[in-house]
Amino acid sequence: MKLRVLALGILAAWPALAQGEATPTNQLHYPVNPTLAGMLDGAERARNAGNWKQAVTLYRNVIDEDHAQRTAGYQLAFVDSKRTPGARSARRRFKGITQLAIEGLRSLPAEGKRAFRSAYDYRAQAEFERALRDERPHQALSLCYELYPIATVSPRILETLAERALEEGRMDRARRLLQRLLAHHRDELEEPLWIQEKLLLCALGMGDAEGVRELADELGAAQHLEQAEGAQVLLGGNLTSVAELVARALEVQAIKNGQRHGERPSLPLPRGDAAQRAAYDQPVSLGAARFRPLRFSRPQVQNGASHSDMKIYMPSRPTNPARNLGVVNDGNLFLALSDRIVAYDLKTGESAPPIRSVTQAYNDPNPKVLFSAALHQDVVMASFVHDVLKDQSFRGIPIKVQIPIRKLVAFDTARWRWLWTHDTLLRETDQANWSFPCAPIVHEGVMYTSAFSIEGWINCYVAAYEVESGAPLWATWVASGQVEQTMFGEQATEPLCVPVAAANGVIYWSTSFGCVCAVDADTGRPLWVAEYDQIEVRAPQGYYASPRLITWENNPPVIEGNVAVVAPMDSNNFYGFDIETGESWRQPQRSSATNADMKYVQGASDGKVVVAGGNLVKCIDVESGKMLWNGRLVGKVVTGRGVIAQGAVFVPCEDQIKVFDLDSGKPLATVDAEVTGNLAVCGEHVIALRADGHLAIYQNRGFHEYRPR
Amino acid sequence: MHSTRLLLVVCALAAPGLTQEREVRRKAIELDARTQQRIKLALDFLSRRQEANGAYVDGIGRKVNHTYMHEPGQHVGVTALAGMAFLSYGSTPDRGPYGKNVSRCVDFVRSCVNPQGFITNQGSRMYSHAFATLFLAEVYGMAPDESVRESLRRAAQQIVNSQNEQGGWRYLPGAKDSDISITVCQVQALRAANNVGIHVPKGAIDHAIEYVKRSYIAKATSFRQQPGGFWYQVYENYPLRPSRTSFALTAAGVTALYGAGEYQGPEIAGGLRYLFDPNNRPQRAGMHNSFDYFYGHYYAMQAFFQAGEPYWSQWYPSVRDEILAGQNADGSWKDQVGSNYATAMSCVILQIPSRYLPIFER
Repeated sequence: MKLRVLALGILAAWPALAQGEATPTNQLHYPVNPTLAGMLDGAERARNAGNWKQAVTLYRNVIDEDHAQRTAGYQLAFVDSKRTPGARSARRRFKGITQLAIEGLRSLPAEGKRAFRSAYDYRAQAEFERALRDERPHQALSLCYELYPIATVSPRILETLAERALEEGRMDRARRLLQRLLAHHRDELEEPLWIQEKLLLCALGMGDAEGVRELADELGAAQHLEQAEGAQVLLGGNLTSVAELVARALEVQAIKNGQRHGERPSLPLPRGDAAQRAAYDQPVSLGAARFRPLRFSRPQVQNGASHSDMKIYMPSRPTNPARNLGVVNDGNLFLALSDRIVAYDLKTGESAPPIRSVTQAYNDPNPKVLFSAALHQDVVMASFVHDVLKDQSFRGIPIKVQIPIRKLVAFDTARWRWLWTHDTLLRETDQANWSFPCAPIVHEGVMYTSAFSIEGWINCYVAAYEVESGAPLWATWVASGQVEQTMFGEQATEPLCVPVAAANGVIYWSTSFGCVCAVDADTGRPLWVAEYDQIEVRAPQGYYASPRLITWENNPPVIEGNVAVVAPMDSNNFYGFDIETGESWRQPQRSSATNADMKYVQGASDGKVVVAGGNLVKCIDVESGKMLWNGRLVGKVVTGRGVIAQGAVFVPCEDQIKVFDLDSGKPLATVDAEVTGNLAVCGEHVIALRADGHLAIYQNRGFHEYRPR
Repeated sequence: MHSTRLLLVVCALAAPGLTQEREVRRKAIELDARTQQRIKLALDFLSRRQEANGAYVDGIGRKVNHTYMHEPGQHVGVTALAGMAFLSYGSTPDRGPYGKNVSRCVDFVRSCVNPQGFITNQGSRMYSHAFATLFLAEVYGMAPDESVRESLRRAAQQIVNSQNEQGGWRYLPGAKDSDISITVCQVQALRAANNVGIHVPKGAIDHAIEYVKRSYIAKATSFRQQPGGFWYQVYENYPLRPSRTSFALTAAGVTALYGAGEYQGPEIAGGLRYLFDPNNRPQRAGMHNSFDYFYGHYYAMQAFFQAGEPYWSQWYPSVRDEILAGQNADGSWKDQVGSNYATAMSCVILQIPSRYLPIFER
């Protein structure tokens, strides 16, 4: 009888359960285009049936259609979905329409490629010539390649792009383009050795000693040189020894890392590189503080009731999560705050001449904003609060809350003057209402950042800008979502936003709205968009918004090996996404004891990523997502973002820095430090920035023992 | 062969009966000369008030307690309603006495479609988006144009993607709570889009109709409730927030059910009884000093038009006379939202018997 009742109950609940499965945790709105996805399907069927002409026509039409709708940006197609046991909704995965079409065209056999060339070579050549005359040839040529990826002229497009990058001294971009050339068009190249020589020059210019050694060996073997008196290669017509090339690369690397004695060092990106790994190839050993701790900002207040329309402002304490990261140019530390930039000499702590503010004073109470900057050729770029959307209430019940609108600014440190501000630059454009809540990064000489706009939905974008002028290069709408709302249906909090990361010509971003994306750095073409499990945004209860409990601090994605590790602020978990496909592993729910306090991604190196929070440090294998070790900080709490240096993990706690071995998790050392918080390494200096606005610079004793690995 | 022929004969015999069952018994009401003249006066007023870019300026804001808190701005929702008022007169883009006005309305509405498909201007929200989508669908249905279709497709997709797990919508897309008023606007926009060939998943409409049905008050259990009405927000979803019912909300609920093809049922019968009850009818004074007088009649008129007799022939003349009595000398009406809104709404309500707008068809 009981069984029958139970069965009836299950049957009665079945439709509701089924419906629940189909409902996403939070609504998300993507640029999905089922019509173009259907055309792609048709193209694949034609390809499988050997109908090359029809297949290439359909693929080309799809690419043209996707580019014709540029007002809406690139479109996506649904790929698959995966359900985590116990999760409320399945995690969907999308791919860019143009990306799928390009992959389809590249997978065509020789007959298919011939069909493409007989139909489109003429147009591809005309487009190539037009792109060469364009005022922004790099972008025009990249778009041209995207439109005609398997035309006869396609290798020439990539080679031209690489040549131009070399001329401009952008070795990293040149190397990436040459690698793509070899990967997709090796059989079509007349002189592959010439490409390898250029690759070697790029590695040399970038200071990649390991790359130089590998490429020189390959090149030497391909040149069939006698290797009797040590390894040699023919480079630019001259016979050069491999050892000499490696030595030159090491010299470049030392200069770049600020490891040459007597030189004033630089740290262009606060987390070491554009991949946000916070991993340094040099030993770090914390010495004495160079000067007494400095206060770099006025006492900050933080909203104690995080992300709510109920404001409880509290003074920030040393144990609060640190919110600042800095960049170093020519021995000067530049710190971007919510409304100004301050600068200090790394060695003496002396303040640089004050930098006139270009915006209103604003003491930012949002505890989840990361104040940071990026540096490129003496230009510091940061995000300032330029405007605040007004609040409004009815008998004490919030209708609207204050939401800061942040814009990017650039300061020329060589001439000590402002270069540009997006507040005026974007005023008459369709980006006029965008907010840029994070510092940008610079990758291959181009500035990349994330942004949002509030237009009903909160629309999330990845965008690229010229460093010199701040002019937009491209912008891609990735997804739209929603935050908590007031009883009157207005956003009750500033949308969350983390910085982007970049590696090998691809920009990765965790949107804070249920998905992670990868977009092409040259054109903004989405490669994939993949979802993760979100914390539910609840409807307002009574008169006030229902804030989510957000525990992750502001962590940009970290790219290590073939995996993008993300700790999304709107999720309880952390994930690893395959950088090629967007397929993911997932670490268990925060409800498990081992994850309860995780706040920071400390850094990544050697296929491992370290996360920390509360009194716990965990190391995870990036390929599998499996935990390798965990370490406890007895009686201490992690207070910021640490670094990884030559196999040692530096974790900042309240008044100490704990050091662990990256491979084993074995505690190596505990260093007392008056000021801890967010850490960065710059040559012979270790920078620490605390939540309450204090700065300390420690000597890096390991600097003198530097031996490249 | 024999059986197939027999089946065809049976079907042919049964067909008139089936058709008759679905037809509504409604006394035809023609617009009399006086009403036509007053409508012309009102449309002339709207024609004069249109901005150079096609927009109409009125209050963009929100209901706060019993008032409409707003700031003046180029209102995309009011522009769409004004466009519908011209369409109801038989004008289409560039055709008819107000053809130029319709074209300018279309241009302005399309200029407000953002890359995400959301139709907004100066902070307008889901109400305006729904009216603008409905307008684009009606325009596309009457004069197909590919550029309008693309805007319509994206606007409709935006509505579908923002439907929440309750099946409804709220002021902002993707909101977790819902209310019947905004939900009905979206349902009508989706239905209009579907009618002109834009793909709308059936599940989206079905889910919305479930929500509307859940809002129905079948039986009063407290003094706040009145049987036959529809809740503003489904009570069990918000136990901490007292909900309410009203003429406008009930009219919206019944119209949504009709719009979804539900022509019979306790919700419709109860809702019509509620609306027809003189105690529930909005007071005439509300025409000028409220924000939902015209909104309520806009849906109630559609509901009674669909219901037919015995309601229609009594309701239309009565409301028509009441609305015409409130018209200003310059042809306008005015309420808390603004004169363009009130005039456009009045024109649409008064012209329902003309049946030019496809959405009002059964």
